[in-house]
Amino acid sequence: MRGVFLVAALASVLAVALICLFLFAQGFPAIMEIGPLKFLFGTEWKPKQDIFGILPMILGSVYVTGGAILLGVPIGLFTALFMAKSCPKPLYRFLKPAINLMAGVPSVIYGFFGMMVLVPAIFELFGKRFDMMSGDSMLAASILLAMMILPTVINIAETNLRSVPQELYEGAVALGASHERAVFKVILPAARSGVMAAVVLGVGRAIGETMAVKMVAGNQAVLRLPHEFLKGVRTLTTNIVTEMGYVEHGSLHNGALIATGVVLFVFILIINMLFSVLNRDLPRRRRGKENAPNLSKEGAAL
Amino acid sequence: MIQNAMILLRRKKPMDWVRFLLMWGCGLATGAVLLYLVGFIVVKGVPHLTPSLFAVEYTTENQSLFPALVTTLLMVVLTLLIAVPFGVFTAIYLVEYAPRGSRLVRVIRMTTETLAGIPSIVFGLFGYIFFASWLGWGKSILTGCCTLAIMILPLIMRTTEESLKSIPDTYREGAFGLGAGRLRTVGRVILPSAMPGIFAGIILAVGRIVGETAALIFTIGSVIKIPENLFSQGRTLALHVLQLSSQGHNRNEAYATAVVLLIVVIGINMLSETIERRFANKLK
Amino acid sequence: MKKAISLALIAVLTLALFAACADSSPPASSPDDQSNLNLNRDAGSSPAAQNTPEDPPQASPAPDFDADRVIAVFTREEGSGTRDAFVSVTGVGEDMYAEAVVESETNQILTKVEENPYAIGYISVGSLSSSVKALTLDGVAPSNATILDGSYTLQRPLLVCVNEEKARDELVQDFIAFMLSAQGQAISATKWTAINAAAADYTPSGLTGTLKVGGSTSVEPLMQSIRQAYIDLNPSVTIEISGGGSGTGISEATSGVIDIGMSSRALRDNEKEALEDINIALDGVAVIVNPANPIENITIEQIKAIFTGEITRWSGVN
Repeated sequence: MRGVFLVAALASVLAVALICLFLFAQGFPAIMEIGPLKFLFGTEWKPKQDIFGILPMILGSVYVTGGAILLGVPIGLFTALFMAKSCPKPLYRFLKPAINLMAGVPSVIYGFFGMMVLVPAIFELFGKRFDMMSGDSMLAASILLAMMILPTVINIAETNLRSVPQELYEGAVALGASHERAVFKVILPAARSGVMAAVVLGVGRAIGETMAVKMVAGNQAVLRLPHEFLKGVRTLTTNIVTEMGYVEHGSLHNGALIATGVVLFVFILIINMLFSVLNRDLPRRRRGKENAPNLSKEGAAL
Repeated sequence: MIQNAMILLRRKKPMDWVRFLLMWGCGLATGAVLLYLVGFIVVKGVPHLTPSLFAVEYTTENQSLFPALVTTLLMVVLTLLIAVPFGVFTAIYLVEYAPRGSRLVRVIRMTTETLAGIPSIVFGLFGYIFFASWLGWGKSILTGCCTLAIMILPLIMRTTEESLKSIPDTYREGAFGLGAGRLRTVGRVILPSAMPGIFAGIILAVGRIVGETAALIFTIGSVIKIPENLFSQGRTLALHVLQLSSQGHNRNEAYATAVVLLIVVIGINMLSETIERRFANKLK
Repeated sequence: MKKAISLALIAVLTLALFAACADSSPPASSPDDQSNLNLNRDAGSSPAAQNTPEDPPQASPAPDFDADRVIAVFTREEGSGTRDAFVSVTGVGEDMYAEAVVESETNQILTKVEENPYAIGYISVGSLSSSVKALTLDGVAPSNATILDGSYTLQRPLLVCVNEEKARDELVQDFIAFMLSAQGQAISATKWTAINAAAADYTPSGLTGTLKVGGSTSVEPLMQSIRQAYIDLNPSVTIEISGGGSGTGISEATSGVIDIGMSSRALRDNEKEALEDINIALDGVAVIVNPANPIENITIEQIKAIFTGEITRWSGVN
């Protein structure tokens, strides 16, 4: 019977191996045909003329994810602090399930919401002043993604904030600190590593999101600079999903799209590695071993 | 009482009010965003929830979501049939059988973590390349199920592992002491006590299957019909919302379908929470 | 530093609160769906009936339309049949304006044009709705008559294609015969343009079997209606329709994975070697703007200038 369990356990190893093998086998020939440098650092994407450069998409993913982190992490963190330390019981009983629900809302629905509410609102607010073409922009995508990563950030941060020993808080209050001061200056720093893990997981979720981003980001394959956050971008994920449906089998275009997936996959591998390093080292160094499994459990659940 | 409050209030410096506002502001804003999101879909969709949306046969006139609903159910069942045995057995191996700290365990853990982090669009691409093209299954229910099964495998594995770990060692010692073998201990003692935790994980996985679109676009096709066999194409509820909007005439139906999808998701969430709570109580 | 960040966040939150209040008031006041989708639509415009744009809405120039604003250009993604037809007729070719917003669904173009008073986009005439305004092209409105006689030049064929082996299949032949019959063409004429007004009646064949049809999402709504009518006459036939786009339809029909492929662009010469193509309808590509936009007519040159990025402001048109 042990053998049966072992074989089942090897299934996930097999799955990862197959994913690597097949993605790389289909993506690499295309990368080689285009030229790795031309592919990764090319600034133009014109499939009809066989020009495939995905630098705009790589940067697009980076910007949109960065924006989501910038917006979502502070708000998520303060919300987690609020929920762990300041929230009245009745409100908590509403807020906690609401946040869990937020994690479960399908991305199509987020996308719908973004398309019908966020994009027009941004156009209304900034359109005239900044000569915007439409509300589809990095900003819209960042806000939407920030909403989507909020539950991830909140749940992990809350678990970690709660695991900070109550004595620290009590000590601070006994020394004359106000409730807020104790929470911000004592509890928050003590939970730093968990917060980092929350950020990394948030990045992972934001960078991989597809359908919602597609509906609000504008999808222009144009090289942008960070200050152009009111203009549209195309990310790695949306590049795949907008063009995959119409592409001819076996064409270079098809290969280039799969290669885009390979680049995305490598990105995610790097982030995962970062996460496992954080998961392994930081908690042990900062506050003993017992919180480590906690962290990974949350990671898997989200 | 009032004096106490005054003392506490006097302690607050201006910066503390800023902190106070930050915490309350962010907390309430988060709740408000969700309320607005759900409220928006419900207000737009509920007026268009007509009985004809649930007609058994899809036609251009009624835009029925019933076939999509059935397909979603079918997908959930089939995907779980594939993923749950693998996920649960892996967890059993890791917790009950594997020698602690062996290299194999580390490799398995690492791959699971990797699997958990892969975005669904990459799973979609893989399913399309491997199951649909290489194995020649085409876009079909089976292709979609296998793709989703790989996607939810780490989720089921991790939740099972956690609930197996939370079973006190005294249970195992007791069973061994009574002369039970390892398999018997696992099958008769550990698994039944861990069941609610495993179940909560499975429900979470169901939530992911129901809401998934990016991984299914290239793997399951878009035929709106109750599937006849494993190789027919299908369309899940989430995909149906997406496709409805792509045809241009049916935005109202798209909203209404989104409401149904939302109701399903909320139901799943509530179920998972109830089970989790009961599990927590039982272990106490 | 930390203080500054906290204060900034509070400011953002307050701003967001105000923005949210300002934004959420319209839905609260008018729960009716269509009316709040296009707040900028002026009261004078009568809802234009589908496919009869010869009677254009009597829109007086909207007072709040600012012609100095940037034109919001919306286009379809690379490879879409609608885009192929559009760029080849208008001469935009490969020089599509890089700043143009790319959407991969007809409905998303519709939604964005509805929401944005300064938008321009193009969609299949079959997907037109009263919430956007279809422009006349060099003075010709898109209609059945103008599309059929070719005076509305921005058009494309909707066609099905079958490979040699499937072309001999009785059921495939019968289904295609139905598409070209009077009943089938009557369906084509509902939202699209029939190619043959004097087709013969179809008589049910009593065949049985299953057909797989797939391809262009532009042809899909038409095919769904045709399928419905065909199945009413031949109850023992099952027809499965899937989307995926013209490219997918053509390649899968070539390989025989599906029986009949749908395409919204003419087949290329190399594709014609393996496939037989049958036109079942014509579809105009309508150039659409927001109803708040006073513009009624546009020339091919202007379209080309807008979609290549030469003209970027509405004041540059006319």
